[in-house]
Amino acid sequence: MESQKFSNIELVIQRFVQGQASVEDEKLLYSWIKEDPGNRKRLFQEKDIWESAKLGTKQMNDLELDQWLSLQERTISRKLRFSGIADFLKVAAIIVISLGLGWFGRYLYAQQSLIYKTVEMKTVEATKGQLKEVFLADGTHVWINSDSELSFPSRFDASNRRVELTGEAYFEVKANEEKPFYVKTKSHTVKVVGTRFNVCEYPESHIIETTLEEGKVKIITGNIVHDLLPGEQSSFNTETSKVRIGEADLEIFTTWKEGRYEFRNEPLSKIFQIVERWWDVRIDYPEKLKNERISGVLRRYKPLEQHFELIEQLLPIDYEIDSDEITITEQ
Amino acid sequence: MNNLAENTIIHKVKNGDRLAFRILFQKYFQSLFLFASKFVDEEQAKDIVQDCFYELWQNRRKTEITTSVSAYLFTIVKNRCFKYLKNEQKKRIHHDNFGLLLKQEELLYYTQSEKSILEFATKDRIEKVIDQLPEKCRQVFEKSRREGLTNKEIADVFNISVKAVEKHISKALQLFREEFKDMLSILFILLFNKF
Repeated sequence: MESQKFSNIELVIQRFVQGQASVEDEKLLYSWIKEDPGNRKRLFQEKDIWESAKLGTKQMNDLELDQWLSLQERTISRKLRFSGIADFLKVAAIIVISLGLGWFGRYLYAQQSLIYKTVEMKTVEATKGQLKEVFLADGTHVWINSDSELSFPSRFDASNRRVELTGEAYFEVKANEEKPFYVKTKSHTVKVVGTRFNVCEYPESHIIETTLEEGKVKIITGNIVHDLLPGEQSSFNTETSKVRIGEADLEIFTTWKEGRYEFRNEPLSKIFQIVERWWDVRIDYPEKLKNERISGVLRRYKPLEQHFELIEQLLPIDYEIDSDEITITEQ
Repeated sequence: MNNLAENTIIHKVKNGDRLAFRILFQKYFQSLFLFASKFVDEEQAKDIVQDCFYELWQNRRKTEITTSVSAYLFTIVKNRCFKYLKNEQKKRIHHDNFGLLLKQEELLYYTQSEKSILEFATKDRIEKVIDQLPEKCRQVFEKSRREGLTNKEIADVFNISVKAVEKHISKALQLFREEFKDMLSILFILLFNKF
């Protein structure tokens, strides 16, 4: 009888652990853990493991940032209240978090400025090996990839918001219909109304890619305007001035900011370019290998050797790492 | 972060260093939030954890931490959840709310004997396990973990049966258990030494 009552227990545990238990499930589990302390331990340990696995998910990272900002607001506004002029101050918080090795990095925080203070242009540069996060005065959140630079005003004026980019950045723009957001690159401009998207424009490549995850953007090149729909990607060729719009694999273009780069069947030359940027190394490899295509994942926080061990298994190569110089030879 | 580094960080926080405070926040926020979420709802968990950091900052000069920072923070969060659950219980007239009873049991579990993996686990360690999962298993697990989809929804996404999803999830959990086996036994030893 008893054994039959609990015959389904494994699935019930699983549902409970995933937060999908029904009222009957909960009732059953309660009597199950009352049967034996071992059961109790089993159930809560399983749930604990499941919950630990949520560490570092996008949802958690977003929440963490959100909570940090509101905590900042609480601790800073208190200070202002003491000075008695809080109501007349607008706090323009520019937070730059630099992710060098692990979470430790350089950090500048909350620059408080009076409304009537002059507008300054600020530039944040992520050098090779770095990934930076910036909050602009309007709350827009930007991730700047390695070897990239973003310039923006310390405060946006009344009619629009303009920033300039060299390299690659992912934007989460605060919606504001009246004040469109513009990203200017060398040869074209992306106009945005509240959205998430990625712009990739490295000088050594003549292709500018804009990938839209959510919302609405317009790509403006000279007099030509293209609309981009969510899930689409535009590639602009700066040599031929041709624009191609196609579907994009969003994961690929938007996961780099979490320190992951997934590549599917891409040429070695492109992958090595990213490796050089992310780890600030130089890779010397035979011209012949340039167009060899491979698939895999780069992880920024993993040692470089691990990645080459993998590549070595995929292609007939040998590699040698000498501090920041990597030499690849054919086997 | 080892103990020495952590002592330095605490020292800096006491002196009003916001960078150090941010590092501390980054190290513990997610763990504390997930821990609190075991017992209270999401909004409540956010408040409890944020208040905990807020008070740490406001009272930084007075606060003396004699244990490890993690033990200190987890204890505060645990106590607040306990208080909250007690109030919840008073509000409910029915005693057969098994969801609440399970939460109380779970909190009791952590106050009486066990420590949560959340006090020790790091993002790196989690990622390492996820990397080792078989491809399909990882995809299914990530859908559930990252996007919080139900098994039925995941089944629809991958066009497989719910049973198959359950199998993948259970496989993933099993591998996690394996991976954390040593950690779970360390938790035991730590507790053992304390008594």
